[in-house]
Amino acid sequence: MNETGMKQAQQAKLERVWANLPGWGRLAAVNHTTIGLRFMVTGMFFFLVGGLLAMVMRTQLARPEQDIITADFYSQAFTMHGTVMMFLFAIPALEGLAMYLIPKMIGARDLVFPRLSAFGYYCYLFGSVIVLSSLFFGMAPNAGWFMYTPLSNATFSPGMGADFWLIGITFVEISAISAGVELVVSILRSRAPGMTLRTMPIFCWYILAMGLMIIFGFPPLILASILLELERAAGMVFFEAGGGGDPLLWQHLFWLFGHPEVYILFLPAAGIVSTLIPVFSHRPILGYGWIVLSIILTGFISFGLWVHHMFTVGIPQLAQAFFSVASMLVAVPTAIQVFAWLGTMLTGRVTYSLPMLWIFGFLFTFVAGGLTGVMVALVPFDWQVHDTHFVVAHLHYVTVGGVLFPLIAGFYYWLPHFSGRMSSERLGQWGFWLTFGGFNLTFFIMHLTGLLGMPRRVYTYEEGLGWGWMNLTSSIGGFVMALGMAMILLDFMLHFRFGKKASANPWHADTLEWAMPIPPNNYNFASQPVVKTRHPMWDQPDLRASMEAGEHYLPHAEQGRREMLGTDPVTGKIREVIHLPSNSWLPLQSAFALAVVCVCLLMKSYIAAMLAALVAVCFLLRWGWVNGAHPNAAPVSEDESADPPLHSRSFDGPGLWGMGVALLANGTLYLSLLFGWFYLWTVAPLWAVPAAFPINWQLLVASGVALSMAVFIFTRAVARLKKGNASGLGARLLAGGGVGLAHVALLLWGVWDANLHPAETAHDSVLTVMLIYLLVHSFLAVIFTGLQAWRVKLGYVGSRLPYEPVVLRLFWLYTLGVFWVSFAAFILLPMGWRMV
Amino acid sequence: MRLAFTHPLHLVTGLAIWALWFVGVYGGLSLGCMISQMPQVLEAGSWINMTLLAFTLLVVVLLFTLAIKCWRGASPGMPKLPKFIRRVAGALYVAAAIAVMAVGLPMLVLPPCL
Repeated sequence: MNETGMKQAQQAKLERVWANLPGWGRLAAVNHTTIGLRFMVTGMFFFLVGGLLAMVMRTQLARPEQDIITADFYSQAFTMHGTVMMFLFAIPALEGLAMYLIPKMIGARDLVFPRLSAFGYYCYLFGSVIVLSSLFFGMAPNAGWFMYTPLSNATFSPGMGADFWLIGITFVEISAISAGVELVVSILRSRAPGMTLRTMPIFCWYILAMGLMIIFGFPPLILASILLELERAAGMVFFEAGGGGDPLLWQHLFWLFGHPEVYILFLPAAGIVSTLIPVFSHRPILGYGWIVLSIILTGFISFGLWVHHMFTVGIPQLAQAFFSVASMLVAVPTAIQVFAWLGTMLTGRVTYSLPMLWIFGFLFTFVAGGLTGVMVALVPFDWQVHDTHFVVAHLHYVTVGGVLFPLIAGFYYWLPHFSGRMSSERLGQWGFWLTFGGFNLTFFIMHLTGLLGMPRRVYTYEEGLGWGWMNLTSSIGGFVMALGMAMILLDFMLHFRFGKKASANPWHADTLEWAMPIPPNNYNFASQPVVKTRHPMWDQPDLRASMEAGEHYLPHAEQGRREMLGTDPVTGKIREVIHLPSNSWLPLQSAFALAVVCVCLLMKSYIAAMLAALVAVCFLLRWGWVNGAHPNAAPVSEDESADPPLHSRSFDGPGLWGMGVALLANGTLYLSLLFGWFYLWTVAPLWAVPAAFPINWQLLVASGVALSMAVFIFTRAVARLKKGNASGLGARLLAGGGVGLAHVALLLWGVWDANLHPAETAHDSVLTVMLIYLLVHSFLAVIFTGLQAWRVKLGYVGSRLPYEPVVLRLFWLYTLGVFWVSFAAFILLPMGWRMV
Repeated sequence: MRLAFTHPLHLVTGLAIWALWFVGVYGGLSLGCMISQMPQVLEAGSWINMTLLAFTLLVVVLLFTLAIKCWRGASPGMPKLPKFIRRVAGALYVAAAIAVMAVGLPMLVLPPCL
């Protein structure tokens, strides 16, 4: 066979190994290109649903005293509009774009946990269907997208609407956390060789920050949703003032998520802007280091603003001032980015094409939204406009201008990548101007409506208040905007059929996603290159051809495995070859079983829910089982190369990083519970402590000692394994698991023995949740360890395959940590306080 | 174990200190107001403000010290990657110190528990 023939054969093999299954088998696809596109398309569908709800609301408000829809349906419409746009459109669409682009930009073949991507998508899909179905059953949530208590509790929202929201959205959030873990680890551990932190595309910094913000931002809301659902369904007390709870705890937990959420949306959108502006200005971005600095600043400071949503609830002035100043501070990193973008354009030669039109629209609209943001950061001004249409106008300027416009710019920019075809310039221009004009007509005037006192969430208003013409203008603007969006969608759809063929790199871009055939193949790159600069496509002109010719790393798939390089998170030096899992039904099966759990919980069929949960756990354990050296994954062979080694033959593969990042999210959930405990203790007006402490602390100490011993045995076994000594590994793991089981039994006894009344006091409710949390973790650690011992027996874990116990060790250490922190905070401290 | 200033963790340490300080002063304010007698804490010069200000000052000094250490090591001949990390981390320490000072400023003029 000649050289060309060999290359073709190699590429055909790569295609076979990386291809999705045909027909229904597509549902088992895990490839990031497929999953990313699914996220985006599903997100766009929900954008249309949210848009339709907005049209219904604008029709109702166009004239005073109309009764086109009822007050209750209006409440459902605004609740679902916010919920759909925030949770079912914006986050998934941006995550989808990131999942599609990140591996391509960093020169990788896929994300590091492809099955997690697929699982996340199905959680999102099923959770969204659950939430949306409530509209068709006429029982959609109607307490606002932030579900404030007590309005959303069982007394004031007695139907199933709030349950749909709490259960469905929590399910969707699993998807967001999965994507967060996936993106963070992929960016840190699978960049092309040579691509350092300093030379990675600026978009990756934005997505890295977004991923980490999801990890720290979403758990407070997940916890709050679980607590509220427990209050509604099981009568526990967390937000009910009468039992020692506090409705403001919900607001704190919600906005601990809710405000960072705005930046979780804005950062990837700004990442699109920072990617496009240099391309269309034909020069590198100005102030790369300054932009990295402002991304990190935004990521942190945005967590210190949440109380600015609560300025009117009665918080001391000094505390309000902390949050007011922090709210103004966050404008600084945003301004740095705006100046960097303007500077890049001013010092470059700007090409005014369609994506840039949307970028200009973004700059104008977002800066206006940012300015009103600084206005509402001022406490006295916020008191005046709180809960008025002024705030509605501000948030739409920020979210539509700051997120939707860049997203559409990005869609137009990467459309040739998705389809290999160009969109229509004319239709696109019409789409932009109608959307931009309609948007400003709708929302600019809404600032005035708000300043004149029109409150949010009212389904109608009286004539003669002076709001009539403004609302009519807003409604007309809304329909013009809808027309613009329709044009854009039409353009997107038509271009697949009528768009002219795109050239290989139609915008003369600098990043690696354009170094592949468009639309892309399933393995992205025929070989993985060494990347030395921030602009590989500008600085290494032969790169595309040499990659396609297989002149770089991993040009073949001889073992029949999906493989790519794992690299150092800082320097980009090669560390290992990551063998990725292939197509699988397990993500769909696991997510479906969890969806059944959610539906059963909604219907209050708790036995069925437990059975479905058991099925889900079985699927998830099976998923973990077919990994590493399992015959379905990468069985050990004698001719394996050890330089670089396969990741399952190392101590530090991406799974370890995935576990670490997932535990950060888990730890944030736990800290949120701890925050709730201390908050209620110090702030709730009717917080009551039972006369006798309800838990037998001696039992807990005994349980903790057993846990410490189990962790000691396990970590010793891992330490020996790290030295290459696997003798007696299975027995040691069994011993660790056995002692762990004794710990679980003692803990269970402690729970059984406790005199807790969670339906009566918030004190006992929080303690109950804490104990369940500990039990679940300990029980899982024991199960995982038992399975590891079994894998040792089967030869999937051993001296040549030491990876999995190292990953599990982190979980054990985490379990140990939260146990003793819980003992100190929930048991020792209150007991000590009583003595004082 | 001392972390070299070229370690990327320094990119987040400064603002992590800011975040802990923020939680500390917000939580400390709530605790102080819970345990204090009301008339004593209605003025900006109360013991709560003074304690929180002292804590703030300490944190500012710590952040500036770390910033100086980062910047001092970034010599012109240094390879680009460690220099990049040192410079950005140093600037982030300064930014964190400014954020601490800015958010702490109201303690000089506002009463804690009103």
